[in-house]
Amino acid sequence: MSIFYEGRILPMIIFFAFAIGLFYFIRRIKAGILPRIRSIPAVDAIPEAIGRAVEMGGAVHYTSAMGMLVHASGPETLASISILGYVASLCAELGARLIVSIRNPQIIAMTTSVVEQAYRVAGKLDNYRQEDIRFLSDSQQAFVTGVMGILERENVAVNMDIGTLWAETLQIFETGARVGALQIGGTARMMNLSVVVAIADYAILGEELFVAAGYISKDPVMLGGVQVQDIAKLLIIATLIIGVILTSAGFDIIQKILRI
Amino acid sequence: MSKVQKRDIPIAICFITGIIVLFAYYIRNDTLGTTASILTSWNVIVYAIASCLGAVTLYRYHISHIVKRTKGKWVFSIILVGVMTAFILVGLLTSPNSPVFIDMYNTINRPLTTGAMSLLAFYIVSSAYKSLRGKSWEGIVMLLVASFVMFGRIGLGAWLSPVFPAIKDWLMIVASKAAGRGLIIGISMGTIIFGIKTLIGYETGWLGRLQEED
Repeated sequence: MSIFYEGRILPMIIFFAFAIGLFYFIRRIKAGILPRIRSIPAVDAIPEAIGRAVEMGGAVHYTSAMGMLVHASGPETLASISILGYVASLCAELGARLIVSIRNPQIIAMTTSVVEQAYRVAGKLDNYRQEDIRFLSDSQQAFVTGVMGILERENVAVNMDIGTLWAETLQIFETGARVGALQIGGTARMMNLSVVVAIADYAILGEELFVAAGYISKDPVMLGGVQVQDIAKLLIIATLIIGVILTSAGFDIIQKILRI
Repeated sequence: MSKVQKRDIPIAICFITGIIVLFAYYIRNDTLGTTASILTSWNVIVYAIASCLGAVTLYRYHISHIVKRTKGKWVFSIILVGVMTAFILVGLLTSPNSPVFIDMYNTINRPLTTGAMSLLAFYIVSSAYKSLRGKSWEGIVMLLVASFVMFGRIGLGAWLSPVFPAIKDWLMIVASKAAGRGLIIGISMGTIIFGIKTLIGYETGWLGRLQEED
């Protein structure tokens, strides 16, 4: 009996190959070989959107929506909180009021800490409002009703719904559109990506959510991750093409390798 | 709070638990499997404690509105505090499985959530109206695709011609799935890289920005 579970050897090899690739590209970037990264319009729009909120005297609303720390939505939630840190620092520097709505009680402490830290680093701790970091409810519909109430009542000029988005996305963005807020959405969930693209003014699409933190910070470590991701995608495309050709020719070698 | 408390301890916890759960997924070992299972089940305990924190923050926020008589908010805050207190007391004095608690849940919570959820139908119509105007090339493509899918799904389309359900099936099974799988591959790559960076402490955005002196 193998010490490895059947069908999980190749995923393990891929995982460690990614980790090695990450270290390699970080070293390259630190040595001065910088990658070229395409722009992400939705992330580029964030400073402009917050500037708009300041000019209009309105608030910036941010939510990680249905984000949890477990299962597949964990990375999405952490990526969303990273973006929230950037949004909070811009709000602190530009003087915009930031309202954060929370659905999952597990991220209350993390969210509060990230926002408070952003205001502290900007030297604007006096402008930090603890009461604007709001836990609404862990029930989806109670949460979305609370968010809709905030959008209607609190003069929100910019609405950002980034993270694990479920059916509530439509209700949040439709209410945001009704109050005339500029809207930025982002998710890695296929089901609601189309809703974000259709309604939000700017959309962070799929993998862009995980790249956004690196794109914002221009940190070599983060940029190294983007390079590994791109090379991995090229390898997958090559595997797909070779797999299609070989399978069509009657060879199942690729399927056998993928089942290791 | 020092850098060790703010950054190093959370990263160390993340690394140790992450590595155990990760290796338990790949390696067949009872000790590793049991440890990973215990660590994963701790999530329930963390969630329970976090829920208490959530209740405290809700009370603090709404009681402050009641005390200040905040215009447009304090009446709703009274309702929320009253209902939440009633649920907590009944749940603690009886049990979450008691008939009283279940009746309260079924007669108060369920109709409200169902009512709020049903609003989704109206939002779908209004967002479809806005999205499917065909003012740009992307809009025209979206309008055409949506029209074919809707027409293919309703009985009238199939009654007029079998071509409509066939077009709908092709759009859903071939075109939509092909684009979706491309996105899924990208998302999976992003998730793995993000996971590795978080595990080894390179991704620290979730810990907040730190000052140099921290």
